[in-house]
Amino acid sequence: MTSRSGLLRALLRHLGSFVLTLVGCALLLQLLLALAPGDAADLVANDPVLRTALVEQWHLDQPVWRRTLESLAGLLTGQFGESLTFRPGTPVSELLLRGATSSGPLLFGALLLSVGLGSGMAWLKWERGARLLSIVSVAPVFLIAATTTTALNQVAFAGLQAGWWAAPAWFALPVNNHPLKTALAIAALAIGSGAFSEIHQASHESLRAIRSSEYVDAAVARGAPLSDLVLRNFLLPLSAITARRAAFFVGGLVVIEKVLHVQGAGAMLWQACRLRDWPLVIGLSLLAACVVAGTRLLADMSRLALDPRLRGQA
Amino acid sequence: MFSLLIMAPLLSMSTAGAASFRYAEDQAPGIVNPLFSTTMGEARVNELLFDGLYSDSQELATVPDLVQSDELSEDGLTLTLRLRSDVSWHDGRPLQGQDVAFTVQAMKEPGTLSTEAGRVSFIERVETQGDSLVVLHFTEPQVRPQDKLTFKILPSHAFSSTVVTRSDSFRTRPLGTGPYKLVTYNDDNSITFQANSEGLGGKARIAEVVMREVSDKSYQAKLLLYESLEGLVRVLPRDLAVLQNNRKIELYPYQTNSWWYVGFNQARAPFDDARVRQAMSYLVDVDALLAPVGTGEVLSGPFVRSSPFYNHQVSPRTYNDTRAATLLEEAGFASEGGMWTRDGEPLTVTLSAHRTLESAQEVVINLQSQLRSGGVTVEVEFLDEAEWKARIWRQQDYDLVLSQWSFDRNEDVREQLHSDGARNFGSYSNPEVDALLNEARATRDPQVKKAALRKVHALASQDSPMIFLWTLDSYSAISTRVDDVVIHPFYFFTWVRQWHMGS
Repeated sequence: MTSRSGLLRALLRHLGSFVLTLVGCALLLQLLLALAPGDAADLVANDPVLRTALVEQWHLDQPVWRRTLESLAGLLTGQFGESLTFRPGTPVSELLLRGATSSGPLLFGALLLSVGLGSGMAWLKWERGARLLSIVSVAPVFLIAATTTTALNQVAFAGLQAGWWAAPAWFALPVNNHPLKTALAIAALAIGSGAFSEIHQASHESLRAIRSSEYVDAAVARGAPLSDLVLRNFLLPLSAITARRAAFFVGGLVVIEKVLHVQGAGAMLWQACRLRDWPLVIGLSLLAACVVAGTRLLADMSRLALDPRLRGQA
Repeated sequence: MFSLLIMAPLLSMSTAGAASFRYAEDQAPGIVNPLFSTTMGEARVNELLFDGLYSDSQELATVPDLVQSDELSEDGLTLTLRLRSDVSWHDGRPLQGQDVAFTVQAMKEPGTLSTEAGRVSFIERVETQGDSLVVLHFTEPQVRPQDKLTFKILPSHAFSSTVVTRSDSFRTRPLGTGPYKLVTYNDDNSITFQANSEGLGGKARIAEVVMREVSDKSYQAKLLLYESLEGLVRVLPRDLAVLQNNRKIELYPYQTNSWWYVGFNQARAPFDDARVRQAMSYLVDVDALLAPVGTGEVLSGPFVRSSPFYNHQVSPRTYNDTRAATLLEEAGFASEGGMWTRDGEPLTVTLSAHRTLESAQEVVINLQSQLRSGGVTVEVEFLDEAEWKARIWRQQDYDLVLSQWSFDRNEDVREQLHSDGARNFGSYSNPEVDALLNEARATRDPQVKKAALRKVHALASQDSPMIFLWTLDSYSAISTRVDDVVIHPFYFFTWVRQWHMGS
């Protein structure tokens, strides 16, 4: 088998897995929504006649298979219909864009920060700093965010009361939209709920294994430069760690956005579920599934590109 | 460099909020269109943006708002209205009779699917004569139709048809005659309103109002203390003390037409038996339940104590386990090991409560404990809004519910207590009560209505379709920087025009 055909087969296999993930996700979502108690018409209408009309207008009486097909069609066309109760009448695609614009920087910022910090500290063998951050990392995301917010507010308010300073632009967190809030959200997401310690630990172990491997010993014996070799081999486990962590961060977005009042896709999903806004729930969930499955696909492709041996296994 | 990057946002100073009135809502309005309002937050925004034909005076009497003068026909079947000539919409166009006709038709239009359709069901049709004369024709004789004409009027020129949809662009660009114009929807879900210089009675004195979404209710009081808000619509009982002690905050008490109750599902045994319902009410110490959640007045029937329909001759039930035991024994129950059983089955019920009902957890836990002491096992569940509507209202799948009813000034309890009432999900049925409720709605004599509803009060107390609990004392909290504040107990902003920011 040539290297190119191996790569192509691997690519197709991963793409197939990506598509299957989305189809499974759409079906599972529709099943869950069908089982959920109450619907959007229940929330809006107290009158049974009005409820019946809304159920019909919003297609809430359609069977699961049909709704699943519609969700998948929505995924292909980017059209998921209109929001029912969250922002009635607003196209879901518009809300998805709004949510992605707010949550994207948090998600990618947190991924970059956690991978950068975790792997960077492991690479540089900065044990003391890593130990300190690992302790903080034990705390859940919401606790880190809430504690920091409260502390900053209390300090700012005490200074205000004492006449030491005027109200800072971010005060009071978290209701004021300010870069500090975004930074806090990224940091809490990147470090909290074990994110930092897991990435650091995995990076540390991978680097130790690479550095003590036979091919590194051989390179040392040849007097070849080590950094490139170690880095090239380190990128493989790192891409796997990143892909795995992306799924956790997508889930963490709901929590952090709720705690810090960020109007992103996570907070929107929470509200949409509460308000039984099924088109929006479907749109947001499939968007999240695309991000997670897409990151995994990207990581797999990177690994295939970096390590030709894996193409033969595909 | 890194420290500077960190410190710069920390030290930059705020310039916002100096002349704004910022208030908090748990949830930003999903839609700004009075035809589709379902939450109190939306109703408050409507109050800022729109006017009705009539409104409330500060004594809560109906007074003309967009109406200059009116005349009710002798038979009570038509009301002729002359509209004010000095009112214009936010876009400068004058208010006209066709706007009133459009609003009523849009509300009644089946294709609109308005949640407010019921408010105009008594209007058969609307005629306009010239620009400012409107004749309302009613389906049946009316005594004080003005009391029902407080719904908000919409501009006909902003819509292409009387079939209005939720997706209509009006939802994001509302146009009213109210004291404020909607200026922007902000990224943080807040909404900024600016004073309308052409509003009724001149420009509102506060230049800007900002609605801020603060979903965490417990954090709202904190923001008021931090001076990041100027107003809280409703103070949680646990925040009262700390706000009361702050010299920069004023508390405004108000009386709501709301009362708490524990409702029985009378379509289900054992609550289809009035004796069991009465026994349960004797097992509840209402004063002890109320104490942890605030102050208020214990009730004996379906009206607040200040209501003209409250029957003061009926006393609230007090705890009486002996009486409860007698009633349960009459209903076939026996006490075994301190717990009530019938046909070998223990008396076990599920108590459902609304998840967002303030202080519901405290009440539920104490109620569970009280009933358990009385020999009844109570399981508890908390439901969110959609599940509540589906399980309790639509499917009637429950034993006991803890909830509250809120009413406007008309205090019409027909929907709750009439056997065909849309909100009578407990399946209460008493032909005598039905007849009295029909009489109260049909009569043109206020005294007859009062007498009928007082009898309803007595009968409901006797039948116990629910345990009538209390009406809670409610408070709004406003920064002392805002002067001349008078709040409406239901719509909050009705008299906002006179509020102003002090020094």
